Amino acid sequence: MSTGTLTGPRPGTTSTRPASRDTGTRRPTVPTRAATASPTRTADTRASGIAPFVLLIMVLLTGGLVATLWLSTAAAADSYRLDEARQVARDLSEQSERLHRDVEAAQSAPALAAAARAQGMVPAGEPAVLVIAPDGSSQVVGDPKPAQAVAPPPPVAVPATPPAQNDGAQNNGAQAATDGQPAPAPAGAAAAEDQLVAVPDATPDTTPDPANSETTPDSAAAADDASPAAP
Amino acid sequence: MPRGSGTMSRATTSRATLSRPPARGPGVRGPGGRRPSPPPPPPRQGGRGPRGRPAPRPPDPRRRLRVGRVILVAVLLLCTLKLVEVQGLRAGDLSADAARQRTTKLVVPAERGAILDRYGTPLAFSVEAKALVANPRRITEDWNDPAVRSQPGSPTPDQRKSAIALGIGRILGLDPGPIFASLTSDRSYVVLAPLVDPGAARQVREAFPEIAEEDRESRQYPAGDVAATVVGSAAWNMDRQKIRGSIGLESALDTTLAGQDGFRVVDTAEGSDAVIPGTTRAEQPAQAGRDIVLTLDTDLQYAVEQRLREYTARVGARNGSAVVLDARTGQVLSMANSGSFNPASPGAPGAQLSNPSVTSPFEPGSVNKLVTMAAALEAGVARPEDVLQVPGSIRVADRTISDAWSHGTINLTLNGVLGRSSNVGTLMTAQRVGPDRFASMLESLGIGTRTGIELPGESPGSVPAREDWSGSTFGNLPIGQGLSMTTLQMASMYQAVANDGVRVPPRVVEAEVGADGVRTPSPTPEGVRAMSPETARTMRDMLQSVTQDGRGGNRGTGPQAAIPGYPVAGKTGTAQQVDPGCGCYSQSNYWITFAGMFPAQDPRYVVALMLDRPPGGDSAAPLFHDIGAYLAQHGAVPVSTAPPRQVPLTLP
Repeated sequence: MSTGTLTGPRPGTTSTRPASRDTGTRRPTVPTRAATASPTRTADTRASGIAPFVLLIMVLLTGGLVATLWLSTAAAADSYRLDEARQVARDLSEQSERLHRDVEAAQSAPALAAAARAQGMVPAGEPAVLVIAPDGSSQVVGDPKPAQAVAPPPPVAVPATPPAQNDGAQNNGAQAATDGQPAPAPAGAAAAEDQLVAVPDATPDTTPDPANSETTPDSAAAADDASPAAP
Repeated sequence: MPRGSGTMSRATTSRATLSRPPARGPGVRGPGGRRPSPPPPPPRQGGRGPRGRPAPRPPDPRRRLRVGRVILVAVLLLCTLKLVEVQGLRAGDLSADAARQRTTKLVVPAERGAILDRYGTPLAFSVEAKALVANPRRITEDWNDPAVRSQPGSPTPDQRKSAIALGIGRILGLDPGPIFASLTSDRSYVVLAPLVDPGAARQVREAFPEIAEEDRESRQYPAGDVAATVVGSAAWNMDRQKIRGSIGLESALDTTLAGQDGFRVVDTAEGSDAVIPGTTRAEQPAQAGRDIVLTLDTDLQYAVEQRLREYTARVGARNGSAVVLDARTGQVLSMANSGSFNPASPGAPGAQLSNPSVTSPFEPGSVNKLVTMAAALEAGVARPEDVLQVPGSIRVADRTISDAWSHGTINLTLNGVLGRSSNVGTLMTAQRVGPDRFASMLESLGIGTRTGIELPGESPGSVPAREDWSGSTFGNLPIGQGLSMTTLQMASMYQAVANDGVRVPPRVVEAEVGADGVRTPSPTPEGVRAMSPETARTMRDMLQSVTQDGRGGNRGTGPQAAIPGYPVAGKTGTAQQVDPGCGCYSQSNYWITFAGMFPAQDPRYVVALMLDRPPGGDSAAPLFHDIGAYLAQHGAVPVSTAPPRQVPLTLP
């Protein structure tokens, strides 16, 4: 029970309310004034010795407070910067992923073939070879003939889905939508072939997908119908 | 009443001071509650003047003090007991409870490995994606809330939903119709868009806070249906919250590709997933899936698929498959089927998801005559120049077998028997070889056993067990009926001939590449010696007779397969299909096959083709020519200036 006794001599209490303290714990007969005087004096002398210490503590406390404030502000500012940097990094990595995907889609064999055909190129066919013997004589192997435009290969029984308008291709379409570019050339050979078909054919009704039509004859017919309309 | 009030305050002060000592102890419990409680003051206050002293009650404070101490001790004792209980006895339970409340185990998803072709061109890879989900019931409730409704101009739930649908449609470039339909359905969870670019998903979420996003992984197949039947397809699996392969290699090598998810144990704010920074307790990084490098060559695969599809459609066959092997290593350079599917939407109608090149065996027909000839050469019972007097038909046990063209007895060289594909001549040779040597050659060429390729669902084909052979069995097998093999097995059989007699089981996975970039080549399968190098060389010469374009009786069955500048060794085949109606061999439905290699002296490529039921029974030789011509150019095979080999097939 030391706490109770210790409270008495505390400087704060002594200086502010000496009377009440004394009345409470000591003899009530002691004159109030005398009781007040002596502790005040001792408190003063003690205070003069304590003052630098108190000042030091206050300086330390203030310093600590300021340091804490400054540090936490700095931390908050840093966390904002970190957040921004993370966002930039995320955006960049998304962009790189998107570009990677688009590049891969554009340089896949079917996409290249379709692009070449769109530019009016035709497969080279079988080249003839000119073989030159060490003695300088030459010999033609094979039958050289000009390359001929071949009819585009028939669509597969399963035409790939057109880019944007159906669930399966939502992927491509939706992902391309962010940068406002057209959907990357849909991948498959069939898709590449069908693209011309799919574009004019892309009717607003989505559920019956035009490219999902069951049989080859159907889609071939669709291709025939749509091709003239294609630019 | 200034005085009175002063008195009051003074009295109160003194009371407060007086009551302090006892109040301090239990102050732990709460001094505020204790302060007004002492009963003595009221009487004291009432009777005395401003400076009035309380009646001398000497024992009072001390007793109070003592009582206070006792109470204090008791309370502290209680506290200590409780402390011991909480910190000691129930510590484990309680801290576990606490941990349960705030720690969360977050899964760190492992990125799925890519599938690449032999030159590193990706056939399948993953990108991050989001799914947009919503709770339609909740949206209805929120916008029907009276507080919201009372605001002027606030939309009704349906108006709001239509705005959301239109907004999502605009941002994602989708049709808003289905989105609106799912938003207005009476459900608590709908997926509005399964795979959306993260940036677009963020845009949507910022515009419409009602929409939530979930992590997904989107599998990209840049080559589309090229090699789709080999590579297969993988899609998001809701149960496992992970992308899973369902078809082809994506399914067969799922564990290798998937990697291992990691986890992070962190503290989260209650009721949310917001991670409290710096609270990571345990962390196991995700182990990214391994990349798979295939032996396929995408360009070649595309070219072969195009040619196969074109030819299959031209001759009107139901189906076709083609396999191109590297002649030395047995690696699969291309494996094409006329049917295919778009891996992005494998469920589309008409999609052919299987890979008939390895899953569907067929009767090979005359292509199988290679076995008889190789066995005869290996056993030394025949030589290519031997002349056989071949009658129009031959009787084996209870069956009579004749040639595809009617003839009387003619003189065919062994070259001619193979080149003109004489059934009778082959069976005559088979009689000299004997069933045992024939069966062992068949076995060492890998017919009837799986090649062990990494693809799922491989069929071993079927060969009747030796002990079950009836008399007529040996009249069927040498000419390629009564047994079945896959296109891949057929290619592998010819690869043995191309590789000087050693059959290397075909493989399609060349290597695995870990996330650290370390490449682990697949183990090379052990080669099986099927015949001596001399036999193989002689066999390749004999097989050139097939593509020999001579006059009359010196013309092989497949001169259309010849490629100018490249000697081609191969064999045509036509097998009758079983007619399920009569249970007999059909006279109209055939499997048309071709297997061959080039350049014949030192083969680089082995090609096996199968066409199912072309109505006209067209040969597959022109398709071999198409694919071979592309291969010669693609692989920069040096041309040969030597004139094509011409040997007598039929003698007068």
